[in-house]
Amino acid sequence: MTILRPTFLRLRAMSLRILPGHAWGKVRALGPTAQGLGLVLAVLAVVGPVLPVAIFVLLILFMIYATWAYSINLITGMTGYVSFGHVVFVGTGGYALGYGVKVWNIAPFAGVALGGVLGAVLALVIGVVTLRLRGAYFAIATLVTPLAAFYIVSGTPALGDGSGLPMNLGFQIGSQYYTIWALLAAEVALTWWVTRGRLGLGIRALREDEDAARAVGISVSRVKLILYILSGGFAGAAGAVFAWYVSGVFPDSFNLLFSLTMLAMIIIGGMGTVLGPMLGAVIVLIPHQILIRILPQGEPIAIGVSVILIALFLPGGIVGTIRQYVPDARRYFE
Amino acid sequence: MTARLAAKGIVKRFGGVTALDDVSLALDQGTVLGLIGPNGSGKTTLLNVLSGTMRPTSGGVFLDGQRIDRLPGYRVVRAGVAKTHQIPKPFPGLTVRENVLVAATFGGRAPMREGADLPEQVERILRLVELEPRAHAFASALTVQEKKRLEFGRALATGARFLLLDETFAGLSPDEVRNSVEVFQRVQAEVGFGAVVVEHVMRAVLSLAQRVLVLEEGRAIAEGTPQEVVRDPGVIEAYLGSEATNVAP
Amino acid sequence: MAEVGTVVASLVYGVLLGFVFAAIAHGLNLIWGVTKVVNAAHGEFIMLGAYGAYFLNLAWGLDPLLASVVDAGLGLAVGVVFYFAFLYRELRGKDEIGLQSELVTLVATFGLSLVLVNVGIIAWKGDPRGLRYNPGNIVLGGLSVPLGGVYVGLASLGIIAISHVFLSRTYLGNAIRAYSQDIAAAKLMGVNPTSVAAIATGIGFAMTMAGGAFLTVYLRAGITPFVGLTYAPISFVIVVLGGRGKMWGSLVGGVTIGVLLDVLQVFVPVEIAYAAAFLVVIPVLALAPEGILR
Ligand SMILES: Nc1ncnc2c1ncn2[C@@H]1O[C@H](COP(=O)(O)OP(=O)(O)OP(=O)(O)O)[C@@H](O)[C@H]1O
Ligand SMILES: [Mg+2]
Repeated sequence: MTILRPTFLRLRAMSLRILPGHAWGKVRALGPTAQGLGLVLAVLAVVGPVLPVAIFVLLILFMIYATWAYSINLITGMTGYVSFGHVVFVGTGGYALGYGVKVWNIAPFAGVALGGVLGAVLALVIGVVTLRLRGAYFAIATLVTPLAAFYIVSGTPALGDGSGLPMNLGFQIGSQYYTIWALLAAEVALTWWVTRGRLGLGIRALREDEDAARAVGISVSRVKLILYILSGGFAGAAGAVFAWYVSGVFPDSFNLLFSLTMLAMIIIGGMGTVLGPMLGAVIVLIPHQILIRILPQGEPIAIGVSVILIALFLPGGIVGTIRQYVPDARRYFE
Repeated sequence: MTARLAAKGIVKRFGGVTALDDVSLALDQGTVLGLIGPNGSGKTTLLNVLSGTMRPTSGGVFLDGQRIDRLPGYRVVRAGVAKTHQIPKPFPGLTVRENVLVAATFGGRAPMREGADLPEQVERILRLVELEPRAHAFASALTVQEKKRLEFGRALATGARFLLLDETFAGLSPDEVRNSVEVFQRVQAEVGFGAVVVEHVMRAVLSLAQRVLVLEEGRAIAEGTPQEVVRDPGVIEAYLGSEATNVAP
Repeated sequence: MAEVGTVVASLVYGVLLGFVFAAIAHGLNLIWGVTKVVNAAHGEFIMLGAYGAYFLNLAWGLDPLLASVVDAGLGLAVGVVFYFAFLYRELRGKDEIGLQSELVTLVATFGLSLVLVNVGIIAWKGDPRGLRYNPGNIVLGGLSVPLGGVYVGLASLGIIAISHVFLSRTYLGNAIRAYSQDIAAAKLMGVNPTSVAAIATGIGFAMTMAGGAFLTVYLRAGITPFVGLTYAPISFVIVVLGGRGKMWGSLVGGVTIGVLLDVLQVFVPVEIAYAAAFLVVIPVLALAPEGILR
């Protein structure tokens, strides 16, 4: 504690020098969670380029996963609608970029934008029909979409049939890094914004009891649909970055295991929270880098066991559980 | 001018079941209409149609002459017609105060809200429904009676001019019923909303309502003052029967 | 018109396949209908049933029909354990199973599915295992139908018929039905909710694993730990089509999907046929959420 304090004071003094007084006041008013996440993002933006390439590349992957985690958090975390088929947006975004780059020769940035738009449009189409369904019915209705998409792309010559669309874009890790950074930052800010104030209260009410929420004047259907569209858009854009990152997109981009990983990240971190998806992404991805070398199946098994234990015993995930049992720490874990 | 809620020729079918068959009603703001009838006679369904939770198969619901039966449920609430649930549906993970705050925030531009800001408004409602001491409790921790009060308070907080109350007094002890009826009357006198009150507890209906509508198998078989209705031979036969002794003043 | 002949053949194959689909979905249907919660790891128990048939064949030369009996016995035990490990905590003491319980079990069993798939990969590697079972063909009106398919199809029908008789004619079956309709009322009638739900789950698992054994006849590309990732969604679709908790619904849903898959393939590429078979669930859910049976 005593060792940490000077650094902390220096940081604050530095901020005071950079920001005019009233701006600093605003930053303080954001609360520790937003400050912490802001700091993490700022550090990522600044130190990325000076890191060794291996770590830099790993950070891109980390931010892709974090963007997916925040994406599924927008719908499943906020509303309790389990989007088992969320990977359909990832694959769609990937194919959008792949097709755009290969056939229309667009820049990868444009491909990412296209992936985001297509993800959002697809979410609109799926959501209009399926968001009226509850519980397992919604989960099942969305679950079938990536399966169908897998078969459709596997049978479509323009999308490379079963062999996908490999790309040759060269080594563009700098652009990839800042593209996904911007997406993640925007998404964290959005998540933070929708969890507070009037809208945040309405979303909490909706998650607690949809009928009651409607009965007190909340436009439940619209709120759900908007959240789902945003979530589809971000998942699609990050899916496009992923295709760019691995230089290709394949039918396996619709693999359900991606959905499961996304879901696992927010279940472990804490559903519907601002901090949870980030924690979940760290917890899911870091062991991945270690275990993958020893026993590739070790990681999914560990994730599976954590998901079981958390679902049954700590339904709030890390953030929710800390908030529940350590009231003093509540303001640090929004 | 006082507002008026009216339903004309409401028919509601579920597949083969006709839950409501040509039911009409009207009430002015400030008055209470009792809605009685045996189990399954369509009372809850009628409230669902009035509140926009369900669309009628035919017929229309009008608020001040404006048609509201084609609006989504949340718009009906904002227009000024709010419903409580027969089985209370609080937001269990929110505190009592937050429950009321949600309704006050999203319920629309309310006559109740005029001249007062949101927190004041919420405090006032908590006081009205006597839930102030429980303001910080999670709604899941409330007793049945408290949950019913909370439903009532939430409906009030939307600022609705018409409340549709589904069996607010059912499942309470006689003391609790007396107490809840008192609360209802006091709040109604202060706020001046109109209400459709569905009840099995006859005494409560008769003491609250200016007029009573009797449903049987989806049809309105009688309408009038409580005194008229309890003397109606058709009603006695269809509904009151053995219960008539409980009704005598 | 060779087309007509092809379509008829596809119809026959489709119906036989549909019977097997019905069997793998039937256990899910029973558990979902009774406990009101979904087992997201359903597919992994189909997978275990299929491996069970494979190893029984390897060890003792049992054919899938005999293996299914052993699988069913195992399934009964596994199902009861599963009930106490995954559902009991969430369902005990509740008369009304809410959305929250549905979500908790959905998520927890999804974790289980992740574990089982990967344990399967460690134990048996990812490469497909083929099971040899070929009792020959039977010629029906000029159409050659593999007997293996006929046998497992009829066995599937048998399972569904037996479960129907069990549910409608036995004390335990009636207790299960009572529990599935109204837990509070069933308790008043002297039904012990925990044992009834546990036994129903066990029976559901028995049928699921037996169905997995039958399915091996159709797994031409071999058995892999990933089998469940395809056949769980197919089972979900079937149950939704037929209507959750409607015991003949499994059959209607299964045959619908089997026929849809085989007949569509006459007209469109196989991939599109599969996509359609999955997607059909969405309009059905939107228009007839109780399923296509009345
Ligand atoms: N969503 C629905 N789908 C199908 N039938 C319904 C639905 N809601 C109500 N019904 C049927 O409509 C009829 C009227 O039901 P309703 O709940 O309105 O009666 P009620 O007068 O409120 O009864 P209770 O006194 O028991 O609350 C009943 O036959 C009921 O089964
Ligand atoms: Mg009712």
